[in-house]
Amino acid sequence: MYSAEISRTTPTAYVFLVDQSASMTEGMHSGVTKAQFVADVLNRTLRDLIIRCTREDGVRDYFDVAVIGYGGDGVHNALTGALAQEFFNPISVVADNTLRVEERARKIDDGAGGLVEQSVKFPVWLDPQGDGGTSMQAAIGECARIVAAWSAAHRDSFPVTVLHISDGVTTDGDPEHNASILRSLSTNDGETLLYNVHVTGDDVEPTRFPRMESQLPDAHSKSMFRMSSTFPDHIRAYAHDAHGETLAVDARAMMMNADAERLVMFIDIGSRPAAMR
Amino acid sequence: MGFTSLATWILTIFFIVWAIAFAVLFVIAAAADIRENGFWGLKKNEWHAKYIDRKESERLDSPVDGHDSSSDPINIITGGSRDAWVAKWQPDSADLASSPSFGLTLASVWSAPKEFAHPQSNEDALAFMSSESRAAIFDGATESFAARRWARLLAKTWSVDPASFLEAALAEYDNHSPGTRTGTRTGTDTGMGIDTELSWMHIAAAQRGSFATIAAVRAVQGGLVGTVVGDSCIFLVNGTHIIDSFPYVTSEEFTSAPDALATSRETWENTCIAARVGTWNIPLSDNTCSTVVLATDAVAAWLLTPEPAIRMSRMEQVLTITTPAEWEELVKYERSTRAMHVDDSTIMILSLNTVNDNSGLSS
Repeated sequence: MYSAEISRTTPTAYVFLVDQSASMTEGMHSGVTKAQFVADVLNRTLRDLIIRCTREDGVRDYFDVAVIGYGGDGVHNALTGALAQEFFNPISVVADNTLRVEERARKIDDGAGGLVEQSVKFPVWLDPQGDGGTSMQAAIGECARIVAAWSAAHRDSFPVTVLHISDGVTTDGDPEHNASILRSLSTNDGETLLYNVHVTGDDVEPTRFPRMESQLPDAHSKSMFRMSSTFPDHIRAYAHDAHGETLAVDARAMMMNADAERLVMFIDIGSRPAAMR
Repeated sequence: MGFTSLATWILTIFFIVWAIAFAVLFVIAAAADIRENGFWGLKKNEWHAKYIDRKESERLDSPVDGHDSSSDPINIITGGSRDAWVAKWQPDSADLASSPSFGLTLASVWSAPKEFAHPQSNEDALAFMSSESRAAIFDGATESFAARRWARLLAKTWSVDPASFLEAALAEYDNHSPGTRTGTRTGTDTGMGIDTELSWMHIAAAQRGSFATIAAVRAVQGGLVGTVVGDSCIFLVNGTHIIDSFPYVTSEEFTSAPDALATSRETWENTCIAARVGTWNIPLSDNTCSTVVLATDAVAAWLLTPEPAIRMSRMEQVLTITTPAEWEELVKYERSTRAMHVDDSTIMILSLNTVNDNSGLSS
């Protein structure tokens, strides 16, 4: 299980499930809002996925990608323009349909012991958004619907990976039952993997890959713990090889109150389903 | 019992315990040494755990020259000759006087692409220089910008001058990358010689660069020298029995993040993809080894299955392949059973011969 190679004939899929409710407009300790933080992380993640698929001759469709938002507009496709027609889009189509490409500055080594500022292109697909209630139960239900259809059409593929980012305060009922259904959806290679990122403005200790509910401070984070998958062996191996993270067999695919660097690491681990061929 | 007698007993017991502990430690150390060096006397795993710098490419030395059949689905470089090179390793002088010289001849090469519908997606490359009895196999990492071109460049430059092949490959890679302008640092480029007229994803992917592994072997007087970066492997075979392999000895050792030769200095310095060069000095006597096999990771991991009987059976299958169609059929079957990973699957089979004199003629 969880050993299918990723190729253009057997792509895998990622679903980004993004909380865009009013509570996401609250500030974090870093000074930005949760919504801004989530948008930056998501844009960077999409960019990284696309770069991994880019060759001299173009972008190869190793991945299908969907971004589902939930908030004031209910549950909806969070991407716009040509990407709004279907939930799932091939990665090459995502690459060609940014909202805009910003110029951002980064500091690099000047080769003489100093740093120089360099302009880099930063593609944007998602802007920060936050209003309305947190319809997490409905969002996970909708996610399960599209994952079921994708899995049925890609029986030989590595199963779908869902990355859910939220502050965890659901307003439409208990989402755990739908999450259980979502995780049970499978291809021939295994069941859907559900990763949860709990962002918070509270002054609580960051937690990553918890093994027990007792490691978490409140009912919302404990609920996200119960909704999270455990890691397949090869992903635990990748986490160790690439990031020096030793994940216990019973560690949950969950992170709470992580800074951007740790969150990007978490998503990198989550987006390495198997060898890309 | 007096005090003196009690002290004698205590000392005696202490001595016995000490002697037993010493004996146990001696047996453990001996077992570890046998496991490391083997009954065959093969000394291995002399890893140089350091980053490869472009200027240190001579660490990967091996010689030759040849021609590039770049239109082939897989890059094979053969032929040519070159004056003697200086091996960095020699067997002990006492052994050298009585040891034979060895030569490698190319028996066969088989390669199957990861996707049969896309034969041009094959990112493996090979080089074999018969006159200098050395060969190398390269595996371009799929998850990189121009893996096929990078692997072929490495094979080509390795065949020309193995002492500086990495530097030469890097220079040619930069010169021929679409949109790159080596040496220009204008206000409009990215600071890495990459044209900003390219799409953002091409710029970012080009900056990330390309990666390839290498497994090289050459015959010398008294044995073989192997050189490896990454998870392409060298096998010593006698009949159909795998005597030993390098850098891995079992399929469980293959990792998701192997070392690789990278086109990006920034990658070497800032990420986990840093390369370590492994060298394997292999003193041989007559009849120790009949065949040397080089294989890229998918085939190597398949051959290194933990079950000895299956391992021997698979090597026997490989050695009896006579046509590309047979190799493709075998690879397709093994992929279908998930015994072999879906990846470019390349193997080079070399016969090991003793050489009569310095003329290069094999017996």
